[in-house]
Amino acid sequence: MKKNEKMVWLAIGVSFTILYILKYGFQGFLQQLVNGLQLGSLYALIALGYTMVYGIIKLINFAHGDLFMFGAYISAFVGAYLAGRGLIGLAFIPAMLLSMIVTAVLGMSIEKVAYKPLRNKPRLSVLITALGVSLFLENFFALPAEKVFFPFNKIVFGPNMLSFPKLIDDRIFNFAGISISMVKSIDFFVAILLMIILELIVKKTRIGKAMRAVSFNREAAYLMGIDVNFIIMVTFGIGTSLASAAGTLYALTFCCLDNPFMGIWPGMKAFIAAVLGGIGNIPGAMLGGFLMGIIETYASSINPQLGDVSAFSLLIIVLIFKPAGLMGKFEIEKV
Amino acid sequence: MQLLDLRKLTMKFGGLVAINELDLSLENGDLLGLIGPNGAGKTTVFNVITGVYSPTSGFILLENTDISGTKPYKITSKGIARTFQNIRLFKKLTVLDNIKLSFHTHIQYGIISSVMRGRKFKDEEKDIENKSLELLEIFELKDYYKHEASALPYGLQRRLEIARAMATSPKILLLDEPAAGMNPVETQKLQSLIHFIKEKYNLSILLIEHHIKFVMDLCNRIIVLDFGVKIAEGTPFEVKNNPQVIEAYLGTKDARS
Amino acid sequence: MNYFITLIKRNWLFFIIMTAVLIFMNILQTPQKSTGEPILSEFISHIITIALINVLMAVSLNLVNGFTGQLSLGHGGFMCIGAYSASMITKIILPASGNAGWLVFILALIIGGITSGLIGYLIGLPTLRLKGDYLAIVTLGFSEVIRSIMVISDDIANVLNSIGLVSISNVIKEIGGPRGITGIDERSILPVVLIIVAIGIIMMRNLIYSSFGRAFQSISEDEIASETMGINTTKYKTMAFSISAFWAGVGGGLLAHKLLFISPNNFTFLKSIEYLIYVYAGGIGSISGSILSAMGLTCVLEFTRTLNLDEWRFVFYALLLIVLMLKKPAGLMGNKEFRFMIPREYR
Repeated sequence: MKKNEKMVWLAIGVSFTILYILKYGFQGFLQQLVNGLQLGSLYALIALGYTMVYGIIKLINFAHGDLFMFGAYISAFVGAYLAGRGLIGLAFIPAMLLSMIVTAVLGMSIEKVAYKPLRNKPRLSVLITALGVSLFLENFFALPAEKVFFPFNKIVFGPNMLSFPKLIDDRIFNFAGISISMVKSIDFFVAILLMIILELIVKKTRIGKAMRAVSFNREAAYLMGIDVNFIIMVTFGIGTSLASAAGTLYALTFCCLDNPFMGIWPGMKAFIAAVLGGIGNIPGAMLGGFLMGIIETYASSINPQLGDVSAFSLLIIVLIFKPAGLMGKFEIEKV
Repeated sequence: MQLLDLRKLTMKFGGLVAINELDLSLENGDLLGLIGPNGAGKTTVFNVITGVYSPTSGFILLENTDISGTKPYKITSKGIARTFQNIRLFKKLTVLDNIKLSFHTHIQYGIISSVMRGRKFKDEEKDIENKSLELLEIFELKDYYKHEASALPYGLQRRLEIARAMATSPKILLLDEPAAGMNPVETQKLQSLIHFIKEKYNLSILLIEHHIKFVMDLCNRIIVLDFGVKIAEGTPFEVKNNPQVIEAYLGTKDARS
Repeated sequence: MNYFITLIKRNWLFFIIMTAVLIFMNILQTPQKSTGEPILSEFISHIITIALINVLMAVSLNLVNGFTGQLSLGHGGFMCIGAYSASMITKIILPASGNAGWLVFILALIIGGITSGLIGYLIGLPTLRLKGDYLAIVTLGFSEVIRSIMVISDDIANVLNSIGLVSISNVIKEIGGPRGITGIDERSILPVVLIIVAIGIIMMRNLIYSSFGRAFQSISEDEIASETMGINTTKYKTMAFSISAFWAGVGGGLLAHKLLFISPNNFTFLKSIEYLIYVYAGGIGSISGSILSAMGLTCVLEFTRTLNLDEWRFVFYALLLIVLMLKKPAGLMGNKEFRFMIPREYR
């Protein structure tokens, strides 16, 4: 981006901020910033999964939002079990970990069954398969248990709302006129912690190195003796477990799970966040997620309907001016 | 008369200088060879001339008008056509459709006429078809006209690419390694084919090729590039005996010893 | 007038077949003397109508996604524009038009199509330079923005009212925000839809088998080579995009006059996904494939509604899709066409 172009965007941003502060006051501004950071951290977690999968096999995994949903449900079941035994408070941590593992297994099996056979086929057929998987997960888990024959009736979630066990006693702190809820700050910090762990895995471990190698050039990585299939599977596992963690945190905050279709919109927005930051780029996904959460929060505080519009408008504007996203590199096509 | 004239042409990719202040002129009826070691910037010269990249600095004059930075499709309609080093045919289209496509710039009928199948449309389509078949005849590809382009053997794909470029009725033809991967018989055939079309259509040709004998036999003038810089220019005989050229290809004595 | 005579002369076979089909359908739809029920029950003709509209949508989406190779996920958005503009026109003008009702309806469809095509052009111009997945997400974004604008139309109307533009505000009020438009006249009866869809398919097919169609296909094969062969790729991408949007708009108009009630919820991104599925299941770059899969999948989906399997329907549908893509990654037809779909001179 050219320098004066940057200045123009900065000026637009600052003037919007000033207008917002004039209308809602400085406290309102800060309050929404806090809310936006919390929402953004969830988007960032989901977006990371999208971006990792895209980075490694160039696939928009449409089923990712549904794995988010799956994770939320699993932790709700585990949480209810624990709460039934009087374990609350930190009990959300085992619930989250367990759901991360279960969801990762599901994610990896989906990769194995539905995506791997199509790896060398036209890219768009995998995309459609991903759509199919997404539709399947949503509709299968929404089956009401009494309509399903034996082995499956234990698995399905049903189409009705499920309330999430109250694992944490929510308290609200008042800090200089801004109210900060405990659950929301837990969301934020857990998300940040997971991102740091991910960064360490990608940057410091052998597997992380192999992941970067495969995403850079799969053939060369294969020739260097990297087990490409295994690395792709691990990437799916990590990506989906992050989505599942986001699902747990989401459920913890909002206390109820609408229905198995609940993953569509968070998934969609997280995907946009990933594109916004430059898809395939890990820091980009985090930046995109936070940006998306913050802007959506501000917009919907003005008018609830503006939330979705703002998300998409932001994306369109950014892509028109920076076609590879905020942190993506625009590659010159080799002829 | 100078048909194409590059003046102090420079192309940089980030910090990499692919072409450095290159002067090159192509005269009417020339068959100019462009040779040099791998990575010398030969294909980049083609990409800049055809507008795929716009040059960092310098001018490209086509009949004394600057065309640098013009879109590729406009440059094609001004009469420059090219082939690609790594064959870029429309693989799923038939051989015939590959050729027909190149006549698009000359098409007169509008979108309404094509939807309604008017008389004008039918006449022109018939005309294009005849012209395409004629071209395929010249390139000895007529028997394959219904095949998908990707089904052709390698040598024929190279020939189809030249035929496709010819269909845009160019004044200047840029050939990027036309003989790559061909056997000696095919190469010999290609050589006479290039001569033939050059005379028949009054072409000026700029040719990149690694096959030195092919270039020496075919071209009347040769330019040698190394690391984006022109190191020699002249007749095949002059170039062959130029010490700098030998150095660029084989390395210096010191380096070898 | 002369033009129409030549048109009929040249396409006489088409007109004869169409007339025959219409007469045949009329017979099917009139109640039989013995039972009082038509052979083609209301339910079946409803399904066929919807399937035909889906065919139009799938073929028009194939023009962009298949033939031109640009991944668009916003087809539902264009359908939305067409549906809203066509039904706004019929709602306002139709009651006063008396016998000219059908003419108004056709005009409304065309205007809906043109509006949608124009917006498609405006959207395509800046976005079509984006590649692949980026284009996909931007088109998806646009269709969601369009839908959201419909949702907040009431607020827009209020703002306009407050600054004194009462008449415009009243028109915008008609959009009805999240409630949508109700009480649309039923005009999309089976024969009408059949004719319009047939015309649409034939027009798009003719376009594909012309120099413009070859230009579209060359873009999907290799954009750089295409540009080097003298094709203004930006122009033809935008052209394919707007034509596709036009027919999506017409399809939207037809759907609105069949469902008689539209709301922004009819045009979520799931709608776009649905059409995408038809295109890819049928085979990208095959009109016959799009027709087959749109017909087939719609019928599967609608007929299973009658079985007592309501919740299972989409599960089967999704499984069908996954298995289809795993077994036939290029879709049912690949990029092949039925022989009769190809114009005679290109066979």
